[in-house]
Amino acid sequence: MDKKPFSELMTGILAACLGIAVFCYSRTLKPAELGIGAGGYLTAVGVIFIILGGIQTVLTLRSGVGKPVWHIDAQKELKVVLIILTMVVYLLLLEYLGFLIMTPLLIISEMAVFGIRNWWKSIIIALLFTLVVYFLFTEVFMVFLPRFSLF
Amino acid sequence: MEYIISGFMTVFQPEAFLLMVFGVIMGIIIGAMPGLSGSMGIILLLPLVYMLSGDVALVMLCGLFCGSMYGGSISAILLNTPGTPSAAATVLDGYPLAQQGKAGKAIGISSFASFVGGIVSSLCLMFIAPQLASLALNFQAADYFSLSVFGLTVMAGASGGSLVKAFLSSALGLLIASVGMDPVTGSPRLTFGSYKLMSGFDILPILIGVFTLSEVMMKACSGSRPVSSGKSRIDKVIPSFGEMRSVLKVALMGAVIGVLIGIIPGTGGAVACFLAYNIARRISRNPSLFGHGSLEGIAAPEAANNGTTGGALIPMLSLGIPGDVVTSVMLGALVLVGVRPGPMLFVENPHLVYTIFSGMFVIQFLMLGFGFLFARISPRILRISREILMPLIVVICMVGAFSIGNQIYHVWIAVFFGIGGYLMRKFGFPAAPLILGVILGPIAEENLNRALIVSGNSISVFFTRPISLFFLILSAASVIWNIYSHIRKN
Repeated sequence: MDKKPFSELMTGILAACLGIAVFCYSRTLKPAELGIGAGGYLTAVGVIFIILGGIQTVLTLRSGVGKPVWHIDAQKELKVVLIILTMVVYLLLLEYLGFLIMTPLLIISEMAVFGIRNWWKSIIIALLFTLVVYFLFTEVFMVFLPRFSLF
Repeated sequence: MEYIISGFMTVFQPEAFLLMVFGVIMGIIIGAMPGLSGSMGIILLLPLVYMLSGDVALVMLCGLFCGSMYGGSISAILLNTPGTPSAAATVLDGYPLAQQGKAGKAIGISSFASFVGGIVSSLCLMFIAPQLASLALNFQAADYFSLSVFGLTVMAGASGGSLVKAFLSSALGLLIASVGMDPVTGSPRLTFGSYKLMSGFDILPILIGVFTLSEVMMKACSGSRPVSSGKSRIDKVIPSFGEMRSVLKVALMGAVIGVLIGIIPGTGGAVACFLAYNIARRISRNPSLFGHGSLEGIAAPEAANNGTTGGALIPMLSLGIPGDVVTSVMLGALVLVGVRPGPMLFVENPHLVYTIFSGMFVIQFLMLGFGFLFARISPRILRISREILMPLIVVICMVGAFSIGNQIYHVWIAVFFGIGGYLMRKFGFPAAPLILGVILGPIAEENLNRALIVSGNSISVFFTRPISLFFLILSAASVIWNIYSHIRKN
């Protein structure tokens, strides 16, 4: 049988721990005389997590644990981190700088992360797409996207 | 009959018809692009769904569903890469035909077979769904609970990969669904003192995050490459009468297989297309042609995967249990527009149900027409690069999440679930059981509560009612079968 990566073992242990936490939390909720009450459903979910986490842990230990850490391709993961970072920065500033300023910046930076080096192409696509989406949502769908509100 | 006529009248109203055409075109384009799926397409259209009435939104989504099923065959034939998993078997004979300079003929046969599959599945949907729904009208709380359990176990079992991880995904969905006020006592659960969490999570940001944003992150991780060289030449697209007649038998066979597979919750086009392909090879007069450019080898899987569309809608509409990943996303979309699929839908809103039935028929004709039309320009569509597309998809996701309540909070939730979805994919957790857990969790809890209250806390009610017992046995059988298959495979 092939050895399983360490992450498989961690998954099992984490699931079981989550199950225990959910189970303990569910016991703090008020029980009902009839029916399952507020905590009954969570108790069941907690038990399911404990059982499945236990099975995952046992299965991994039975087949043996391989490498101590899972393989990470730093360059590829960096791209994902950058994608997430651009989204986070976009959301933090969206309320103040508005959709029309922030969205082209988001598109251009994400295109750069994806490997597009033709800046003029990125800028033109970003501006056109932002304007089309802005017009469509504010004028047709009546969704009022955030506007510049620093002053 | 009255409802059918009224359904067709609704479908042919300008707004519904145009949006249906839009859905079909979007579906074909999305399906044709490797890496974009029907479920992603539905999520991208959700901001639009919000603004529409239930029936119009549904026919548009059905158009997208059917269009994406067909669209997958275009890249399978031209690029040797199926646009969707459901077109995986089309590669086997489609690409050899394209290499022989017959790409147009292959796409033409694919359009015709998809049309046959779609028509057969629409007929089955129209006749089977109402019968199943009238049967389901006898369901009581205990039966609904058992049905929810069945839906969760079947979807987890059919997700592929590790069974334990699939069930953990379902359990995570159930946990996410429990955030907010308890539906019976009104006590807050897992809200951590946040008033925003009191109403729980909306399904839309979860769908956007888990299916679409996580897909963008996966694509960023998988490296860059152009989608197509765009050099494929498209010759005569519309097949001759003789060619259509030669593949009709296997197309009909594929369609029936597709419908039957589609009805089984948790399965889908990927299973149906290979099953139909293998049977077609066995019954064909020219089995040696299979794998080298057989028209029957394209017709059978294409009819089968389009057959699953109507088949998958049968359990979704009549029982509220989705037949596959796309219908589980569609179910989430329907909940957004205030439509709760299930047997009561047929009683409370028959007009909507028959609009879908009528729409499914019209969609097949639109798909045939646009299929022939798009075949000629498809190499150009396939040239749009992923590097440009993905950032634009992110923006649509952000705006879609924002449009729920004009709040940036929902966009944060989408990004949060996007990161969660990415980690799930990385560690081999399927996303579909999680979504089904979120959708079915509240139904399961509410009916479990109701059944126990009515029976005076006696769990025997789940075993003494025949329907409930039937679904529990099916759930157990599904789990045992999956464990057995897993053990045999290893």
